[in-house]
Amino acid sequence: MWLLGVGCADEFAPYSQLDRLRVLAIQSEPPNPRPNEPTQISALVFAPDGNTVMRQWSWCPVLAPANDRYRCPLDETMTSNVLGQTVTSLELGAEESAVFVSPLSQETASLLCTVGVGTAGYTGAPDCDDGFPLTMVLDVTAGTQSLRAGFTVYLPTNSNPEPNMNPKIAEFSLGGLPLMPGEITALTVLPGTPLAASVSLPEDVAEFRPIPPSEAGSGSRLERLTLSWFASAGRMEKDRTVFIDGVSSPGESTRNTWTAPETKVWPPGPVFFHVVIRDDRGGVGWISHRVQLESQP
Amino acid sequence: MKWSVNFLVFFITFAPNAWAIDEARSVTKKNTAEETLDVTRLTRPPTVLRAANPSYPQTMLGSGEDAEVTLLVDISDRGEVTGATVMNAEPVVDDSFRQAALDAAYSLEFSPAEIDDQPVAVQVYYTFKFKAPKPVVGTESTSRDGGVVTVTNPTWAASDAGIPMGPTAPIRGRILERGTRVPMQGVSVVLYRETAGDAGVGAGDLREVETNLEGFFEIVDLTPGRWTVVIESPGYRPYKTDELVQVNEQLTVTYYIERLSNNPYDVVVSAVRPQKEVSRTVLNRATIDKIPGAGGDPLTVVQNLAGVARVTLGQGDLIVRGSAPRDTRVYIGGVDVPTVYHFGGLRSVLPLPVVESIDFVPGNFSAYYGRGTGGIVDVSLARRDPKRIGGTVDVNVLDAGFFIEMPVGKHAAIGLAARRSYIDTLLKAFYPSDAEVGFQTAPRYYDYQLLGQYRPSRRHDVRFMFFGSDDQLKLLFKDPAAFDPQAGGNQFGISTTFYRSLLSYSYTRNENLTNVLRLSQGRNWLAFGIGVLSFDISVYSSQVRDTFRYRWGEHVALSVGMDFLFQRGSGAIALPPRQKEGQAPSNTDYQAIQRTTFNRLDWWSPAGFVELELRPFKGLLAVPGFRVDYLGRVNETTLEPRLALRQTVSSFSILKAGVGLYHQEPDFGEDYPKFGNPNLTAESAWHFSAGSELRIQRALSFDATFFYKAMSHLVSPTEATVIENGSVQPLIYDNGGKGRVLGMELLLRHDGGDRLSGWIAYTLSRAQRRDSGAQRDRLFDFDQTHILTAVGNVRLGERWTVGARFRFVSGNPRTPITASVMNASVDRYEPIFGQVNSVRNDSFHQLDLRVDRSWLFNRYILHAYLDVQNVYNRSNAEGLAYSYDYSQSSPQRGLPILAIFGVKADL
Repeated sequence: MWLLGVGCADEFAPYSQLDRLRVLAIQSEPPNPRPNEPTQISALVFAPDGNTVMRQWSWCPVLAPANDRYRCPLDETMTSNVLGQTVTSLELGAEESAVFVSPLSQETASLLCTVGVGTAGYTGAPDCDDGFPLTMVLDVTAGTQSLRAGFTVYLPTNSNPEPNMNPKIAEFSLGGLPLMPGEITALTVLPGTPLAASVSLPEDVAEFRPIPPSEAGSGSRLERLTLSWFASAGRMEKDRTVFIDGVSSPGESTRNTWTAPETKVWPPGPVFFHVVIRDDRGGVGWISHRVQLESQP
Repeated sequence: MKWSVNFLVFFITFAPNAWAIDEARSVTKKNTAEETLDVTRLTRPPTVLRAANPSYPQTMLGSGEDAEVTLLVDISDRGEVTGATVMNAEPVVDDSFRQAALDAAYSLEFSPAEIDDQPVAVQVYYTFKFKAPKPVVGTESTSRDGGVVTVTNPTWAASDAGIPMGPTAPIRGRILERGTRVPMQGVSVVLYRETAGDAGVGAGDLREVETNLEGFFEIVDLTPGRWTVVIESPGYRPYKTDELVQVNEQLTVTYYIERLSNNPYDVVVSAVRPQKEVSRTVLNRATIDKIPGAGGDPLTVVQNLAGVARVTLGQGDLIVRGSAPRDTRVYIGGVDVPTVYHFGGLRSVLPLPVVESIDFVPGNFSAYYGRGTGGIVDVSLARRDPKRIGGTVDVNVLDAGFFIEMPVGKHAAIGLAARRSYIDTLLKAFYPSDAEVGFQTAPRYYDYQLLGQYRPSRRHDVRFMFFGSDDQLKLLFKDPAAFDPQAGGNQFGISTTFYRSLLSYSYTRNENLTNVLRLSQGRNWLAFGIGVLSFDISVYSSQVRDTFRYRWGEHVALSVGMDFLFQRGSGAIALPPRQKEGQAPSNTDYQAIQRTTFNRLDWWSPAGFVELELRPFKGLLAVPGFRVDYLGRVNETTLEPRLALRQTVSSFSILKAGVGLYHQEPDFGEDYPKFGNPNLTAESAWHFSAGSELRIQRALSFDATFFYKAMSHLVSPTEATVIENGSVQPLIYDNGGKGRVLGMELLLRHDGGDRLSGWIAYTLSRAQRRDSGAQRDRLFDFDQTHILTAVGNVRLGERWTVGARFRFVSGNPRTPITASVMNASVDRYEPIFGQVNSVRNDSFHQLDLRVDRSWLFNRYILHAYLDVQNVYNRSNAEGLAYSYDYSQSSPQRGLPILAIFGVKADL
């Protein structure tokens, strides 16, 4: 007996390849804004060809559905009714980062988790495992390209009093060479040469967190960490690496391989490298570097 | 009243070399338009249990005259010959031929013909052929018991007197069918010698005996020397050989005689079963076995019939007349089964040898069936009647299996079948051990069937079957991110297991009164897990069915039945609400995961039905029916009136129409708190259909059916909310969905036994849905405007069969992706969908070819086949693959040209 042939589909550019306008990450610092506490919302954006990026920030007091382009189901009036205080605008400005001051008290957030916000016309049941969710929305434009991105920020509730911390990446190395932040590192490499890419993480980067009700078991476990790797030239072997307590080791999640472009003429300008780290309750951090490829002597 | 039936089996006659009596038979109908209806109803033709060997009339010895006498033989519902009439005699023959044929007819014994497992009386054309004996001077004849020819004419055989007799020796032997080793009962064995024996005597001697029930024969007084043995039996090739008989040596022989047709399933009822529904298609084993692209799989063949949509590669669903897959109920031996396919729909859970036939009813089905609003697939289990230990071994690219059966005493039989895939073994051999994805349990499936049958008399028929299947797959992702970082795990597992035990008892008092009782018990177990997503559900199921049928004369028959289903479920689920038909396939929302466990939830679903078969006047069959169901999961009683009409217009045409109401429960989970709406009610559908059947030629029929289906109370996603314990909660589903399907089915079918058979099925339809709260209809996910399937097989010579299947199907509707947004929380893009099902995939077309070759050996038959799918390597699109931001797409291609080779042995 024998069997011949299999089905297939065309391949596309990998997720890690930066060749168009991208929003690679949005961060809330701190991750769980306390009432009336100024919180900085920032984004890691990549724009090709050095185009200037235009940004527009807004927020939504509930979880805006992604499949409806993050359209907020509540306007200012409805938001004011839900929160019991006047909210004049949901816009957060057009700066590189935005400052958000949460108008929700911890008690209000807890109450909304319990009763929902259906009376305000919003039908989605809030999932408050990690706090009361609200949505940050970023519209970016660079040249002719535009993109909308959404990000969920979890407000503390009475059942989630412990704040999360944004994870951090301490260092990024390429070919065993630690890259210096803010500097353009010159790299001599042959086309198509694979180089080890790695990051170093603080020992306490994964915090203990309560096991959410959607998972089996009780008590607490270490946060799951996802690292997303990006390069504007060449190719990353893996788009993402993951640390899952009991499944994969932290060391495995910090290693990747970058392969230099196959072309004999290096692309103009530096190659951008970005690594984004996310925990599984809204914490985000990243590290960025630039490398100037040089010909083999 | 005697039923008259007609089935289209012809026994091929042959002209033996030596003198012989040959026979041919066929069954016919009476010549009334009304009874023509009946001729298509045989589910089991009569078969000869005891053959007859009429004597060549002594008065005609020496005439050299051949003759052929055709009788119309009446066979009772017990298989006895109750009458015989000479219908034709060619050439105009002496009355002695007629009388010899009539005398012989009354010694025939048949198994009774059956309609729906009920024995019926039939009339059979039966032809005896008389061939003049070869003139042999000086032969001696022997008179034996058992109807052996006695030749006393001195012209043809020498008298005993005065012929010196030398020493004798015995010959003992057995006649078996070549390949199957079935003992041949009542076969005439002729030995003669044309030269003198050792003693210089005996030239022209002739002996003839008839084999007994076990196929044995014996002749004790052969004179030494070389004898010619001639064995002839209707439907078999003449067999001739020489044997050397020696003094004081017993000669023991076994002869294998070869059927003219070696299709193991060539007892074929070409016509459809007794039809009470507007549309019903019956597929028998012979048809199923040779369909290209189906791999001899019983249920895969159903996907080639009119009204059945093509499913995407790797799916085993049945989408019938625009209904969702779960709307169509599948019965095995009369009881519900949860699944009929192994992984990906490659194989169904029943191998061919345990299947007698498959009935497919696309709509307007009888009140016998319920709890479904789509169509019906009813698998009839084979009645095993083995004469010896035998079976099959089947090895192909996917799996290997066996079936063995044996008689137990005179009235019982048992059989055992099992099959296992070896995809896992192949993967272990060829899959790299350092691959990113490893197989903890490579994909494998197995199924098994244990069959028993006890039939002490024609009134009582007890059958038992235990069958089940088990599918397992476990994957280990070395890199957890390779699957989905959010899943929170690196192991993927899925298993589907079920078993059923089935006991049925059929009581047939006479052709007017029957009762069939079926008991079944079993368990379904479905488990799935990847990271935090999982479900593990076990459902025990017990079902009791009893159907009583009584017929008053020719005009009225009543069927009354009960159908009691009990299910008990336990399990644990951690999933987000499932996506319904019509919802675009968005990414998994891990934030919406709901977790629950349940234990020993009981659902009782009793039902009763009554159905009349009325023949108020010539040509009309009206089948009003009524079914009452209590649907336990939704706590609702449903009433379902149904009516089917069939009017015979002429001996070759029938008009038909039907209307009926059908209900079914929501899908499992849709009515469960957290995952759905516990206040859902039953879904319902009205079926309307009308059409015509034409029998163009004996083996050629045409069926045109128009249908309309109106569905209401469909479970549909909703944005509505409900206040529970002071909290506003999403309703998730309600019964606000509606649907309608309008279409036409055309079926041109040629059924020429194993010589030439096939069909062309064309379905034109439009299936639409209106979701809860929507203002306009949308296309059903599997709406396929045009479905054309042409299937054919032709037998070339004795050993080769060639088949082809061509399909052309409109592409499935698809919801376009118009844009995307970046979800920075989970690091992925989310698609923005356009209007639901507003565009279509490209049309599908494909040609498959199959070549079968068989080799006949004395003790077994070997079959080999080559099944080439997608012969012209059409690049069919099964869907679209998207880039990570959905800005680019390309078609997901189906299988390219694919060659599958397999072998099978009938032992």
